[in-house]
Amino acid sequence: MPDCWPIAAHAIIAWRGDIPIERHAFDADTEQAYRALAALAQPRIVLFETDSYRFAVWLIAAWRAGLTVVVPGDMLPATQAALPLPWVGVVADAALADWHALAAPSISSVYHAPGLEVFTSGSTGAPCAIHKTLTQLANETAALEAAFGSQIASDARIVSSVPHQHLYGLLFRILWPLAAGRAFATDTLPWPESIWALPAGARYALAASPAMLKRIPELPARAAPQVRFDAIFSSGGPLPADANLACSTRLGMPITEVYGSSETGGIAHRHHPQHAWTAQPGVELKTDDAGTLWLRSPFLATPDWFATSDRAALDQGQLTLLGRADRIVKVEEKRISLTRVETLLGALPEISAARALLLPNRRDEIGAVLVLSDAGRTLLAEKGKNGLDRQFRQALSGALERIALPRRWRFVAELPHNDMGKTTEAMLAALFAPAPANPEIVATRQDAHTRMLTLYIGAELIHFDGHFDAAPVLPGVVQVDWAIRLGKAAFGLAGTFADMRQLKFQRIIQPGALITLTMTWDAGKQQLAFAYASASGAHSSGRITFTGTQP
Amino acid sequence: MSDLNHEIKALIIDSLNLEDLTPDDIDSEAPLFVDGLGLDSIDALELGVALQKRYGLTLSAESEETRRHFASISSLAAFVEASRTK
Repeated sequence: MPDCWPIAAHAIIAWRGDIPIERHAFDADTEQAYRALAALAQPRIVLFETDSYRFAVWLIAAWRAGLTVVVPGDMLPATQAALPLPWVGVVADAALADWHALAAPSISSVYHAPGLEVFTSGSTGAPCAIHKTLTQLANETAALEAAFGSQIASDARIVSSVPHQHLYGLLFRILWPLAAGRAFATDTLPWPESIWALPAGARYALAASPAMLKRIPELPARAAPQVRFDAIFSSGGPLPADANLACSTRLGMPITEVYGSSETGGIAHRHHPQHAWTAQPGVELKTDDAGTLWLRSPFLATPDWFATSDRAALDQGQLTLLGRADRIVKVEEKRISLTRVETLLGALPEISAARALLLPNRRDEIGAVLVLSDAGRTLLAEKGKNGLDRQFRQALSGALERIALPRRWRFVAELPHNDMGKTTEAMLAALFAPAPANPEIVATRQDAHTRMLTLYIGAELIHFDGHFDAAPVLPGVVQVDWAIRLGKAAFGLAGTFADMRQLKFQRIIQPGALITLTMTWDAGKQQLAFAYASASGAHSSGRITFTGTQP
Repeated sequence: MSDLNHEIKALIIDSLNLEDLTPDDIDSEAPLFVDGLGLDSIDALELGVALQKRYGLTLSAESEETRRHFASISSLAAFVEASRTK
């Protein structure tokens, strides 16, 4: 049987916790899986498997059988319906759930187009399939080894917080280690804390998501992990510079950011957030008159130049990224650059992150989703949301046509994102849904037992509908319901409501209010204390008891 | 007159679907367009239609005159008071 994916000679393929899985076991498993897949007589299969070792066995076996392997990002019913092919792995026809269960059938057919299909969420959020040949993938892992291989010991274990169902995870956790002869961990690191639980005494390379790295500086202070990192990678989305630096201090290793996409593969990398980017080995870069970045790369399907959606400046091969290329939308026949709206908003001292989008309401409108800076939150408390909206519109009015000024504003503690750290347009649009049931969470603060959320109580909340038309008041039952749901989310509680006591409603909450919800969790009593307060004083408070919060 | 001011403010918020705003937030003397409330040309179109429907008044095709009527809540209220047919 032909070898399709280059596997270096190495004794240990993977680690399940602290137990090694050796090469001979891998070879035996792939042989069995290969026979099962060849017997299918299907040129394409869908592979969804959460365990990296099992994923690798099925993938390598399928390629040996000459199959194209479709790798979806999830196993939702809609995804299964959209891919009517044999599924292998977690979601599988009984015979394909486990290669060990199979009697070795005779091989009936072998195809000759081994390849991969992965999906990218795209900016609209709709999954979009991308085909890769094994040559493209092998070029990419060879470039990774050329760029970073010398800093990672041959016995370093590859661990990751990103699913291998996406290209970044697949390359870094499975394909590159197999080709370079390093062992990979079978499990995904689910939490930032998992880094501190890695088996001590070994060396590691970590392929992480910005979503995970960003949360490491927020962890309570603790000693550096008892393991040594040869490399820490971040890719899949931007990692803020301050989080990057705080993270590398805590983990004792600079973060290597890799810039790229599922479509293009890796484009460039850097080892410090203030440095320019260096192109991946084999990648050629250029910019056009509009400042758009183009690339030519052995990781692409064709040798043609490919236009990215980013703007950049090139100086002697060193790349500086200047934000996304213009996203143009039309508002009532006028062309408006959302990128420009975002850039102008992002430059204001009251705003630390800004996204703009088109809202096709009764009239076309621009909506803005903002993360306020500390200065912005102070101003919000002083001026109210309407005052702040107006100030932002005024600040932009010198640079934008009136029709391009955002008319709807949502303040969030952080931009919504998926597990790859990507913010899609659909997630932003959801914040503008009519008659929402939840308040805007403008900011969050926490210490060991307490969580404080700053809530903006918008007039559009469904709870004000008919309660009451002349003098709208936030119902007490809604305040209790929010405390239960926000408290469960903030403390990660799994239990159910048992009872409530000491309920006090002292002052009504009206539309436009800026309220601080303070919650304290008493694990011994399984009790959540909550209090709503604002500049006008205490609004309400109470205690809620849960059952079954501890497994 | 101040009742009419309040009524027109509510009509603007409602017909233009403005957010985070109550009638009390709108200054009767502040400009409606550009500065002040910051309405745009599409808002002007919608507001014109809403005023015609509610008060049965006719808007002048002469832009200078319209601009004067639409300068602030107070001037709009004066115009509505003088020209309304319902």
